[in-house]
Amino acid sequence: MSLRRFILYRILSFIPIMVGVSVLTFALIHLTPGDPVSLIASGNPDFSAADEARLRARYGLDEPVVQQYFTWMGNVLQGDFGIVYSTDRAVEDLIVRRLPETITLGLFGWVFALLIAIPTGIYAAVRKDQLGDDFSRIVALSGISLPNFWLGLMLLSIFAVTLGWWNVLPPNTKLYHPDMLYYLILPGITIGTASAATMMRIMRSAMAEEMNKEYVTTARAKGLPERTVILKHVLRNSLISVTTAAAFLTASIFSGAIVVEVIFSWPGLGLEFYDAILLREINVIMGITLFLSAVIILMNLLADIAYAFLDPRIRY
Amino acid sequence: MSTERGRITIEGFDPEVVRERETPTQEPAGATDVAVESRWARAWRRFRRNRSAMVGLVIVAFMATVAVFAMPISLTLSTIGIILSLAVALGLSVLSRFRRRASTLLKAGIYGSAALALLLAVARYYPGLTGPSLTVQPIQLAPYDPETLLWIDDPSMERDMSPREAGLFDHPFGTDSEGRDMFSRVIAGSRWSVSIGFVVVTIASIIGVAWGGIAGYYGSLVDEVMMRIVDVVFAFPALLLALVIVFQLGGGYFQLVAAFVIPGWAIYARLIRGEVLKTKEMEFVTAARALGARDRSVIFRHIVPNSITPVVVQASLNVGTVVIGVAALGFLGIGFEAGTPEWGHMLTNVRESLIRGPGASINWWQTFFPGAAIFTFVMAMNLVGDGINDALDAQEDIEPIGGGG
Repeated sequence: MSLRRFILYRILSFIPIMVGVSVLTFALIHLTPGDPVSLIASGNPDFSAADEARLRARYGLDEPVVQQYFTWMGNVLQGDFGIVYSTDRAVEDLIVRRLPETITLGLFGWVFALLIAIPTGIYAAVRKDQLGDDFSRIVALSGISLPNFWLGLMLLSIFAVTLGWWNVLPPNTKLYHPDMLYYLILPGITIGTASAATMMRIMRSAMAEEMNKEYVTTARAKGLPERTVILKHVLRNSLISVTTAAAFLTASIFSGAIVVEVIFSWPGLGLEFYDAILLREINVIMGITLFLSAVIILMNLLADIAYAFLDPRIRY
Repeated sequence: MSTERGRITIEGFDPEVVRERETPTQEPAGATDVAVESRWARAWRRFRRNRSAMVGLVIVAFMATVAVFAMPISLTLSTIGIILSLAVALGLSVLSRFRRRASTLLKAGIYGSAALALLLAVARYYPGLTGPSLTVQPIQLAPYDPETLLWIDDPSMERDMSPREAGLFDHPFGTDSEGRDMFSRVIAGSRWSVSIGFVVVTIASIIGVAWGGIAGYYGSLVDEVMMRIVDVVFAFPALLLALVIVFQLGGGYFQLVAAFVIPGWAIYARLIRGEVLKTKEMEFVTAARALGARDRSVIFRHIVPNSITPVVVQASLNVGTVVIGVAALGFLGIGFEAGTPEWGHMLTNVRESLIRGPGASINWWQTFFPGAAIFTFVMAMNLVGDGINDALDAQEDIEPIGGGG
C-alpha cells in the first residue's frame, strides 16, 4: 500500500471506530434503568407523574432508545451535545470552556515526561546491564508503581500545607497568565510522573534494540566517536518508536487528568466529568467521553501517520 | 484400529505405536547430560536467579497471605459448593491435558461439576437455599475491627490520633478521621487490592486471548470486524470508562471487576492476534490441520499455547495498573460504600480535609500508610512482571503503564 493510500485508509477508519465509540457510550448510559428525570422526581416529593412525563417529553427521554440515539448523534454532528440539566446550559460550551485547562495540564505533564524520559532513557541504554541501568530501572518501576493520587496528596501536604510554597487551591487567575506556569508545577509533576517512567523504559528498550544493529558497528568501525554514534545515529532511529508511544500515552494522561484535577481542584474536563458522575449529568458524561475518545483516536491516527513518514521502510 | 479426528476417520493408525516410536527407549549417544528442559522450566530457572524479581515475589506472597488471614472468612454452604465444584472441574480438565484422549468418565466429571456449580449459583437467588454460613478461616490478624469507631467504647480513644498519642504498640498507624484503627484498616484493605488485580487480569486475559486468537486465525473480514471493536475499546481512557460503568452498575466487588475487565481485555486481544498471525504460518499448524483437527482445537491447543508469552508478560505487568485504577476509584469515592477499608478509599478523607482550606492539618499517618501499601504491592508486582519478561525472553519488551491506565 502506498503512503497516500495508507493515510487515506487510516483516516477513513476513523469513521467506523467513532460510530462504535458513540454506540458504546450511549448504550452504557441508556441501557440501564433510571434516567435523570426519575432522579429529579425521587428527590422532590411535590413531583407528580404528569410532571415527570412532561419533563421526559421535553428532553426527548420518552422516545425509543434507538431513536434517542439517532437524535443525539444527529445533534452531536451539528455540534449540539445537549444541555446540563442542573443549569440548563449547553454541554458544548462547558467542554470548550474547560478544554484549555486540561490541554495545558496534559501538555505540561507530557513535556515534563519527555524531558525526564529521553535523557535518562539514553543513559540507561548506554549503560545497559550495568549499575546505572539497574538503578534507573528501579527508579522507573517506582515511578510507574506510584499511585498518582497518593503522589499528589503527598506533594500538596509537603509543599502546600507544610512549606506553604503553593496554595492548596489554584488561584483564580486567567489560564494564560504567566503566573499559572508556577501553579502548574505540582499538578504537572503528578500527572507526568507515571508517563515519564513509562516513556523512559520505552526509550531504553528502543535504544538498546537499535544499538544491536549492524549500522552501529559500521559507524563505530569507521572511527566515529561514540558520542556521534549514539546521538546522531542511534537516537534518531529510536525516537521513531518513542514518538508513537508518546501519542499512545494520551489515553493514560486523560485517565490521570480525572484524578489529578480532582486533587488539585484544577477546573478542567476531568474535574467536570467527576462532578457530572456525582450529579448524574448524563449529557455531560456522554459529551466528555465522546470528545476525549475522539481526541485519542485522532492522536493514534497522527502517530500512525507520523510513523509511516518517519520510517520510510514501513509500508502497509 | 481407527482413530477419529474431526470428520476424517483414519484407518490403520495406531496412536500407541506412534507414541512408542516417539519416546526413544535408549538415549541417543552423546546426549546423556543434556537435560531437555521445557520452556516454562527454563523460564523459572532464569526467574529464580533474578534477585529483584524474587524479592517482588516474596513481597507479593507475603501480602497475599496477610490478605487471607486479615479477617476471618465465613462462607455460605452454597458458595463453598460452587468453589469446590469449580475446583473439581478445573482439576479434572488439567488432568485430561496429560492424556492423549480424555475418557468419557473424565469428560462427564468435568461437565457434571461445572453444571453443578452453575446450578448452585442459580440457587443462590432463592432465599433459604443458600444454607448456613461456615467459618472456613478463623484467624484474624487485624487487632481491631476495621470498621469500629473505637471512641464509642473506649473513652481514651479519639479521632485523628497520631501513632504516638494512641500508643505505638496498640495502634502503630494511629487512628483515622473517624477514630478507627488505621493498622487494622491497612491490613484488612489488602483483601481488596491484592485480589482484585489478579481477578481482573485473569478474566480480561481469557476474554482477550479467545477474541484475538479467533480474529487472528480466521483473518480477513472476521479479523477486520473483531479488531475494529478492539479499536473502539482502546479509544476510551480506561479510568473514564471504569467510572461510567461503576456509575451505571453501582458499587461492589464484581461491579468493579466488570468496570476494569471491559476496558482491560482489548490489550490482550491485540497482543495475541499479532502473535497468532506469526504462529499460524508455522509447520506444526499445517500438520495439525492436515491431521483433521478442528479449528477450535487448532487455535486453542496448538496456536495459542505457542503464542502466549507476551500475554503472560503483559498480564503480570497489568496487575499493578489495575490495582492503582481500583484504588483511584476508591480515592474518588466511587464504587465503594463510605468507610470501606480499601487503600485508595482511605485517602478520601485526607483530600476532603485538604480542600477545607487554611488551617487544615494533614495527618501524615493517614496519608502515608495506605498509599505506601498500594505502592509496595504494585512495585512488587511490577518487579515480578519485569522478571517474567526477562525470563521468558519475550521478543519485544512490554512496558507497564503507570497511573492506572
